[in-house]
This record gives sequence, structure tokens and C-alpha cells, in this order.
Amino acid sequence: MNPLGYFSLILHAHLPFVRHPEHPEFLEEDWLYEAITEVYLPLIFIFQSLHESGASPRLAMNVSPTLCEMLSDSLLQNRYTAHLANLLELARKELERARHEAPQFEPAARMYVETLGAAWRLWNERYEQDLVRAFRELQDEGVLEIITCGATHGFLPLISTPEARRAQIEVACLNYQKHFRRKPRGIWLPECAYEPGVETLLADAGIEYFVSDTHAILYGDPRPRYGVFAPVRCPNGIAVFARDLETSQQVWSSVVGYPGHADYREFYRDLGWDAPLEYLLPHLHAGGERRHLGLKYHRITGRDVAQQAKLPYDPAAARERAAVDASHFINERIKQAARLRETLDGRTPLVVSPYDAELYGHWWFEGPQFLDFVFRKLYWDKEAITAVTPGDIIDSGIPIQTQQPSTSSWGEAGYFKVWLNEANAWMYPHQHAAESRMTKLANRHVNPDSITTRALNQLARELLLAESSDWAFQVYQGTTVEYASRRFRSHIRRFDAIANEIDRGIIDNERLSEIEHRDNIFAEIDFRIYKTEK
Amino acid sequence: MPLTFPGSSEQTIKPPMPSAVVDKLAELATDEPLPESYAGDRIRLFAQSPGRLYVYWGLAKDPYAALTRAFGARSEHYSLVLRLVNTESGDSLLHLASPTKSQWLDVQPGSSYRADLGLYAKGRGFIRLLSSNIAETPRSGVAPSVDPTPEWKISAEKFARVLDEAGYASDALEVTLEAVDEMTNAAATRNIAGALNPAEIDAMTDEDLLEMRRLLVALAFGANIDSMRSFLSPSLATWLSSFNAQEELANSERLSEILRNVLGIEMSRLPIDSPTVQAMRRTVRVVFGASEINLPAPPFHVWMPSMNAGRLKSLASFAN
Repeated sequence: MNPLGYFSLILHAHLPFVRHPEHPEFLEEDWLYEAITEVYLPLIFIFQSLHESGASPRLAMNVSPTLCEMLSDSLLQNRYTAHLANLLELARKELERARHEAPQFEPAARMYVETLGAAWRLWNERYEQDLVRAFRELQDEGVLEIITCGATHGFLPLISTPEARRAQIEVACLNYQKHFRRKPRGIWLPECAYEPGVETLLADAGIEYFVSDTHAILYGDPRPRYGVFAPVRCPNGIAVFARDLETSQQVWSSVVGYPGHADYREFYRDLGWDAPLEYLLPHLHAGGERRHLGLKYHRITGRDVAQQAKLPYDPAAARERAAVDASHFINERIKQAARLRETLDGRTPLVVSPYDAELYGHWWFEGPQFLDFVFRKLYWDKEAITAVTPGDIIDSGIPIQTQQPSTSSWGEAGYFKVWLNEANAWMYPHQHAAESRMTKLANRHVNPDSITTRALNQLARELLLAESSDWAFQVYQGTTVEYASRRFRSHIRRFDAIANEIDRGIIDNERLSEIEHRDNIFAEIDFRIYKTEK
Repeated sequence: MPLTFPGSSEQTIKPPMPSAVVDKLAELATDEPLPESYAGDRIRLFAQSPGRLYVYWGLAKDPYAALTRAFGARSEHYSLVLRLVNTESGDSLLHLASPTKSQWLDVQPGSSYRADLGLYAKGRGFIRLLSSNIAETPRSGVAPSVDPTPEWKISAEKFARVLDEAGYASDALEVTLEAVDEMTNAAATRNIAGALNPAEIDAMTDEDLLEMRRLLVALAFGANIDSMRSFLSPSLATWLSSFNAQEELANSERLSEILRNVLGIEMSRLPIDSPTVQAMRRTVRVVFGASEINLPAPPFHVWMPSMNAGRLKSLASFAN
């Protein structure tokens, strides 16, 4: 018997490739370390625990190629181990301090010791520092349907050549096979950015479906019979699953979304900024700069409450709130499904809910607990709402309407403004010049010698890294403008330098080795992917 | 959507480098700007949004040098221009080329464009130097066509409900008006417009009718009249001018009341501060943490009435 509705949660886990072996420590590497502690380990733990208890969840998850490469990198693994050890040591110190000096913060301090201790055991003992393996096991156990993404999260409509677009997809698929030992069924298009023609690249790579924003389908041609509450197929057969706004709103919105509740942990009050510098110094980087450390002792308290007036965080109350919100979320899905069944003339609606994975745990600290409660409740309510993946829907054999989806992205305003605007347009002439030059060089070098092959492969890596949509996003957003700009420039400069050497026929082996050492992503890459197809 | 964590601040962009470490890539300094241009001619055109294109170009040689050789002193009459061609209609428009070698161009949604870079002098024509790729602007609303297959065919009335369920309230309202127009031989939109502004409306083609529906939707959603004027056809702009003269009628509450009275449409909540049609169509900026994604204003639905015969009968006789 069909349930009242289907619910497809899709998590997008992605971070840009940030790895700086040339420095003993580097602030931006913390993005990965924070995400491992707050997001990936908790989610893996919850999904695995639910599965082992017999209440197996079912969801799709993108683990982006850049993230897979970082999670598999021994330098970053070792650095994370040191990072976690440092944090655990600080948390233990903090628990002692709270006991004696600030008992109102003791519950939170105790929570950090417990959760960081659990993270330490998971990281070192259960998964032996290999979280790609953890995700792979969850897929093999039938919990996750892991999908791929652009190789470096390149924004496909703003990539100038067909060869460079193809490379983003094919390098990603090869990398997926390396890490997950099978082919990906689906793809999270970077930034959900779609324009007609992208589906051809996906079909060529053997991909069955992609995830899009709402209006890709709603504005598609012809009009979608079931809106976004059923997939559509592009004329070439690739299926499209589009975002439901109601569930987006409930979790994403800082105004009406769950994460803004007064009981949840306040993100912006952090021990790294509150404690005396000399106390923190042993736990900071060598330069001694303050930074977010992830130990936060306050709750949101209220929308207009000043940071200094925030009240102590109560983990038990927050957990209780997460349970209430999860229950509300499921009840709303049941109501939504009942309403949609009427609108859709009895067809079982599908609600597709894609989110950044990092929302759960990093921005919304209690997010993983919320998902834990959601899947527990779904287990008992599965006759009303059944959790599925896009692949499950395709496999069910339901008829799917054919439609040409509309150009779209999931960024602000729904199109490409975030990634192409007055602040970041300067990047594209450089990126596009590199894209054209890459294909010219790949076409020209049919049978290169060993060092030229290495140089051409490194060119491909530099181009892919320059194409990461993260840089344009950060420049637009105005938070890490300098780092993003430097990263972009560094990849273009390295690309130009190597390309010039290839043209001259004289390659500086020492410099090439250094660049290979720093930008070591995609060991398996073959520059021939950029050749023009005959 | 990529996240940038607040923990990454600018203060450690230049992390301390131990003195023993020599940066082997120092010559590839990332602090300096990238080269301004690359060898060769090039021009690329990209659609940024339904109403905006971005073009950049580069020329291998100074175009004025060749021009001077060919035309001598007459060459000084020429300017470097961009000719933007709508490849569907063939219409074109000249823009003086920016010295920055890049430009933003306002265009129409759902169309195709090509940019030609060239030299132009009044009375002497256009000398084309480079032609760009063709860029297609996205559609900014629902497609007009309905799947003819019985299994997938959907009426405008039902599609409006689907759109409303999906949170696309302004599109839902537009398609509702379309549905009622289909049932009343376009009387609905004319009557609603007439109730809002008694000024004479010229005979309307299907295209005019679509534009009027979009205008009414924008007004219902609180769009600012002045900001819309430049998007409108001459006849609708004229109608809007007389409308503007009766300022007291020009507000979304009045239109909402008319929609409620005529069609039984209830708006659950009126949006505020919606400066343009596009802003209303694509909603507000929602920020949680560092991520910004495309989300509509807080839950907002248009309640769609059944298009029952009694209501339509009253609509047909609705006061002009």
C-alpha cells in the first residue's frame, strides 16, 4: 500500500579544497575540522546507530569530490587528530573551570567533554580516521544513496567550454568510483545550477538524475502536472528532483525556521572570543590569534537579545526542543501530504528536501539530533510518510512526465547573480582563458613524455581548483574575500606558469613537484579528459 | 551552497611562516593582480538572470590603427560599440563599449542574444570586429504550454493550485487570472483592471493581456509603480500613467479587495516593501548562518477559489 506521502531528504556535504602543507597550521583548514567534529561525525554516528537499532533511515547524500579528497588526505587526517586532541584537552580544562567558577555553564561544558570524547573514539577507533569509509559503509548498508557533485563544485553554466564542463562531471564520476567503488546514480549540480544542455553531459557520464531548485521544474516546459511533488525527465531521459520550499523554509529560515528557537545554541558567542587570551594561548595557532573554537556556552535566548545578554545554554532543554521540532516537522509533512494528495488528484506526493549538510551541526548545533528524532519518528509513521531516495523513486517505476526544465540555481534570486556580479565578474576572463588553453594543450600533446604528462595533469588540477564556485561565492558574500581571491589567483598563476613551460618545452621539475605537493587533489586525473571529442 | 565558517577571518590571511621555510612558489605571488588581458581576440556573453547579461572582450590589436590606415582622418568619427542583437526578433541596440572591456546589459527574459563588438560612426554604419556566442536568458515565469498527453495535461486552474502549494504565490495568482480569462473570454482581467482604474483600456492582444495579468499580479504583491514603468509596453504605460494620477487607488490593498470580491481570492498575508516585479517574483533574501539561498517570503499562500459557475456568472457582469 502506498503511504500518504514520500519524503526525500538530500544532504549536500561540500567544502572547497583547502590544504596548506606549506604552513604548519592554517586557519582556513579549520573549516574541515569544524565540520568533521560538528557535522560529519555526528551524522555518521546517528545514521549508523539508527541502522544498527533496526530503525534504518533512508536518504540521499552528496559527499563532494573535494570533501572526499580532503577526508582521505593523510596530512589533513593527522592535523585533524591533533585539532581534536587540542579541543578535547581544552574542553576538559573548561569542565574543571566551570565546576569551580561558573556552574551555570557546567552542563554545556560536560556535554563538550562527552561529545568530543565520543568523536575521538569514533575518529580513531571505529573509523580509523577514514570517514569516506564510514560513508561508504552507510551506502553499502542501504542507509545512504551517495551522489556526486561537480569535481570541484564548478558552476557549470559559467564554465566556457564544453570540454571543461565535461571534465567537471567526468572527473567527479571517476573520483566517486575511487572512493565508493561503484558508479554514482545521481548528482548534486553545484549550486543546483542548471541550464539546458547540462543533462547531455550527465547522460554521457551514466548519471540517472540531478537535484534542482524549485523553479527548474515549475518554470519548465511544458507545465509540470504535479509541480515539484513528482520528478520530471529531461527530453534525454535524465530525471530531475526539485526542492520543496515549505521544508526548506522550516529549516533554513532564520526568521521562521526551527534553528532560531531561543533554546538552541547561539552560534556567535564562542569561548575563543570570550575567554582571556592568555588562558586560550596553548590552544590557539602559533600566531595567537583568537578564533572560533567551537565551545559555546550560550543559547539564542531571543531574536533581539544582545550577545552579552545571552543566557546559559542548557543541552537537555535544547535536546527536548529538537524532539518537539522533529515531531512538528513530521506532523507538517503528514498534513502537507494530505493536502497535496487532494491537489494532485490522489497521486502520492514526493517532497524533496535538499539542504547543506553543514547546516546540521555547524550552523544549527542541534541539527543532527533533530534528524535523529525525524528518522525515529518516520520509522513509526512510515505508513503515513515513507523516507525514500531519488533512486528509489526511479526504481519504483512510476510514470514520469517529460519536460525541458528551466535555467535556475538555488542561490539568492534563483539564477546566477551570486556567482556572476560586479564583485566577482573579474574572475571569469581568467578562468575562461585557462579553459580554452587547457583544451588546446590537451589536443596538441598526443603522446607527451613523462614530465610533460605530469605537467598537463597538474594543469588540469589547477584549472579545476580555480573553477570552484566557492571562490566567487565568498567574494560576493564579502566574508573571506581576501582568502578566496588569493586562492583563485594562485591557481590561475600556477596554471599560466606551467602552461608557459609546456609551450616552451622546458619544465622546471622542482617547481612542478612543489605545486603537485601542494595541490595534490585527484591523483587519478588524466589531462586527456580535456581533449576535444571528435 | 558552500559555507564559509565565521572562524575564517581575514586576520590570518598571512599566517606566520617559520623563517626556516622558504616558499618555493614565491615567484607566483598571489597578492598581485592577474594579467589584465590575454593574447588574441575574444568575446564572451553570459546570462546572469532573466533580465541581465554580462559580456567581456579583448582585442589582440588596436582597432583604431587599422581604421586610421583605411579611413585616415575620418576614423575619428568612429566609436567602439557593442551591438546587442536579439537573435529571435533580429532587433539590435548599440551601446558605447565600456573602457573596462566588460559590460552589463539589461535585456528581456526568455530570449536569445548575441553581442557584436565593432566600430560605429553615425551615417557610416557598423564595422563588426568580433561576435560573441549566443546567450539565452531564462524564462522568468511559468511556461505557457501544457502537455498535450492526457496523462500529463493540466488545466490552468489546477496548475495554479500546484504553484500555490509549491510556494510560488505570485505565479499562482497569474495563472489563476489566466484560468479565469480562459473561461470568460478575457473579461476577467479587463474587468479587474477596469475596477482598479476606470481609464479606457485599448483593445488587447493576447500578449497585452498577459502583460496586464503580470502587472496586476505585481500590483497585488505591492510592487512599486515607478519601478515598473520602464518594463511596460507603451499602451500599458499610458494606462498606468492615468492610474498613477489616481494615487489613492494605486495600492495593493485595493487590488486585493477587488480580487476578493471578483474572484474570491484571499491572500493570507500581504508582502511588504516589494520594490520590483522581479523582487516579488523571486522573493526575499533569507540568511541563516553564512548561506543565502533562494527562499520565498515567510509562508504565504493565495487561497484559490473553485471556479464555479455562479462566481463566473457574476464576473461576466462585473461593473466596468
